[in-house]
Amino acid sequence: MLSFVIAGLAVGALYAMSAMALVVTYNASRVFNFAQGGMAFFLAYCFFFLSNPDTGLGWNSWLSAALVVLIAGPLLGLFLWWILLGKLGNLAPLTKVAVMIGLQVALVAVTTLIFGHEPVYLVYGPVGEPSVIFSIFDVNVSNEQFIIIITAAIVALGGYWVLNKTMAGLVTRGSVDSELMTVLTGTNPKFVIASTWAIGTAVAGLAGLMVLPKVGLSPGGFANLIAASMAGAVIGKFTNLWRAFFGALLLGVVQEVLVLYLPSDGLLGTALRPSLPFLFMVGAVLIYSRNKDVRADTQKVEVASVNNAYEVSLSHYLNIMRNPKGHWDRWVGYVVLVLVLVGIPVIFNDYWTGLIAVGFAYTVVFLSYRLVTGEAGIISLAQISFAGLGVIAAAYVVNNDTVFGAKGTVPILLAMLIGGVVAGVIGALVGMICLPLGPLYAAIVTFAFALLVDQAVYTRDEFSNYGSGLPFGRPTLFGMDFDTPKKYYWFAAVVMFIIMFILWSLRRSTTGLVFATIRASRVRAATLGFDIFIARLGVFALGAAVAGIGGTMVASFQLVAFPNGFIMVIGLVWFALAVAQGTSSMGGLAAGGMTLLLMPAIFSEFLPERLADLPVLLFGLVAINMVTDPIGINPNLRAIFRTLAIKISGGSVHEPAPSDDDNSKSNVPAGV
Amino acid sequence: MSTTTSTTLRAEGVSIRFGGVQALNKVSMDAQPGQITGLIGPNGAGKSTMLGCISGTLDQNEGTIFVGDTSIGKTTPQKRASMGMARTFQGPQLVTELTVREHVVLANRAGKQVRAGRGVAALNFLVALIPFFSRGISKDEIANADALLDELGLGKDKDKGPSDLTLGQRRLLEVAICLATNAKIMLLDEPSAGLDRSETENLGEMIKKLARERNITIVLVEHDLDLVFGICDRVFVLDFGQLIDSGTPAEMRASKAVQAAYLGTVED
Repeated sequence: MLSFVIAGLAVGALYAMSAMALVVTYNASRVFNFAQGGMAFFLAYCFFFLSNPDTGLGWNSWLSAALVVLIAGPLLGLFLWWILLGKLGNLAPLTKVAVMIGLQVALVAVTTLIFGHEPVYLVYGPVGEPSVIFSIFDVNVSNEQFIIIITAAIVALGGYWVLNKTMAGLVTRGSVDSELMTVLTGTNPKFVIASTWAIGTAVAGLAGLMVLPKVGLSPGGFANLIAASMAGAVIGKFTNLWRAFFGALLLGVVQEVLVLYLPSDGLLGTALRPSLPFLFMVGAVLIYSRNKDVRADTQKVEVASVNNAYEVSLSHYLNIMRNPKGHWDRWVGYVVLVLVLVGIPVIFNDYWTGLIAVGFAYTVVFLSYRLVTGEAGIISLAQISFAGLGVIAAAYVVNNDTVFGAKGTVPILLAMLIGGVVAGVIGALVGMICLPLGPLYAAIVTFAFALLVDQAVYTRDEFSNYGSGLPFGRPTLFGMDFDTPKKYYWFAAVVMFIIMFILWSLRRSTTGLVFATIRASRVRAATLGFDIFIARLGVFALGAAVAGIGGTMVASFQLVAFPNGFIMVIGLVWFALAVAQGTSSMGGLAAGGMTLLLMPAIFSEFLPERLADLPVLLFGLVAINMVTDPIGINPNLRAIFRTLAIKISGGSVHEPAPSDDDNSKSNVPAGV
Repeated sequence: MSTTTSTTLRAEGVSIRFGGVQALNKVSMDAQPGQITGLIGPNGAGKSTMLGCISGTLDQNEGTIFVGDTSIGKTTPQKRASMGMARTFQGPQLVTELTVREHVVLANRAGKQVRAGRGVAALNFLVALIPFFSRGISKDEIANADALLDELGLGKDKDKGPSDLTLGQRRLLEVAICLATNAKIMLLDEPSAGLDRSETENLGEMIKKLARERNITIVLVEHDLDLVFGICDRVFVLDFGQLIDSGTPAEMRASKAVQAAYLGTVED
């Protein structure tokens, strides 16, 4: 037992250090570091390059670690603060999350472009090869465990001492409460925030280096560390350093001690331990969301940070779109769309037509962002998992004779609908957990859920068919087979347009107006009598169902339900791309879905394999660009075309006068 | 002597504390249908906090609020809206994506929907997912909204978004939203701020007409004492979270306590 506790303390200490870094940077800047995994990954690769004698410089591992943690880490934090993070403070939560996810995606892509994208599984940390150094009550403690626990204790106590006993700590805490007061005391708050990012990045790097022997070097390898540290941050309500630290530490201990009590196989044995970060988060969220004041408080953060940059961009866009002239441009768009749709199967061969058909399927998944984020304003990082769960459910009913009788008797079209329904029901359950609290909780809980699905569901042989995927098929309808790429192209296009039509219909209805109100002012929506929670939950479930249907469409084209195409790491890229295109814009989401598929295919045609991650880097950069363009690419393009149409029609674009009065949203009330 | 009807509003011993600040301390007041009840006091007196407790956007620590004989305790704002309550906000809570007219249409639909119950709301949600069945804005709705906006002087701005309006116009739009719900109890939080004298007088006349003709219970929080004393039937005065006096406008104009609260006292 004691050996498992010690092992757990070592794992928990890593989680705790990483959780502290999240809390410290969030406290100082009100930006949650979704890119911490990417930062740690980059720094870990730097360490590997410096210390590895075979593929790198072969320097002493302690020297390499010191250079990375004490110099490269802070410099990376300062550099990112200078070019990006310092500009995020007043942006809306969605923009902040999208930019940070974009940064995460870009950092991982930059790292793999520089150092290569082949995973390295056997990597030693700064300690080198583990060896036993002493025993407590007959339990051996390794040098690695000892150093990790001691380092975490030093980081925690050092952090406590700096924050509570030094002038620098006082200024940092003052800066969190009132930036203005910090300025008036002669301290530059930017310096405080930049320093915090430097320290936070260094600590994240330190945790990354120390976790290396456990996870190796692969883009998704740090996901567990980040999920566990996020669970700590949630337990600490993002602001309480000690709760976060001990919450994450406890998580590590429980994770290791459970090894003693769980069977080595079966659902419990394989799924419970990876699920712990999610379960810890769920526990914390359920406890916190019972308290009305905490509910209001978490949503107050959201409202207090509704920024004018977004409002100004949106007003500018709407002002152009409301101009009475130039509306004929949409008909030009429709004609072009029809010509392109009809032209594609004529001009392109089966390969490219099929690829575009799958692009339509991905567009359907992306349309789920229109519901979840564009309508209900929810930040969901689990749309990819809902798509994957839809795929699994659909393939399972087709391949399993215990569900609907004989194997293979369920029509594919019905299976696709079942996939959508199952994803929708699971979406409703996840929504019940993550929606009562503010947007950051929703983002983090959905992130952890996505990781949980990766590790506890996709890995199960009955769903993954031992890694090769369950066979799936193409649908038939009224005697029509969609068995060739060109036929499937039309099937996917029709389904995509039906869903687009439904979403368009939803937006112009009372429900659409209600969601516009909920996004702008929950207090307004509540006092008009709208049940915000139920409305958001309904749309969240519907979004999950749409994602599920989109996923089954992908599987149907590929003739195999392969859940590994729907993992969380890819989902981050999807989210970044969808938000950057504009989640309110169906054209943007369609562009996102198509780009996701076509750009890597085109790049792989013309660029060498070592640049395979270049499209991913571009997707990340596009999301990062939201810092200057918060409404997304497609609305801006629409505005440019409409401006042109207005000018051609002889009109002029009226700019709204800048507002000189207070239009800030008041606090979200309790109970909303 | 006040009587109780189904839309009489009554607060008894309402207290609320924010950290170390006692924002309201055992405040009791009532408002009758067909009357305008003023709630005044210097800055920080607790007027808007009181409206927050009545509308359910804030939870009082002590005391209760009644609509008619029904205690609404700590029910949600949604529940209170379904009982016929609507309010405006000191900082306008408007939707950038909606035009002025759409705000009014939505408020009108909201009023109908909350009166019809949750089942209808769920049905509307499902119907909205069926193309061709979802409701765009009908001609009748446009005509009704435009009539209300014309009455409030916002007719020429009906296709604008809220960011194109002045602060005064935004407050008028808040009032229009409140009116469009056809609520029986209206809580107006400084509706005249940002309006010029003639706009304020028009607004006052409209509020008076509403209360009398539609028998609406109106609670008016205002800094413009001329407006309050000109149209209110009764006035409650708060200072530092305490109810310091109440009575007719004439009585409050003459009240030493009220004068002291606004002007301060001279020590002997």
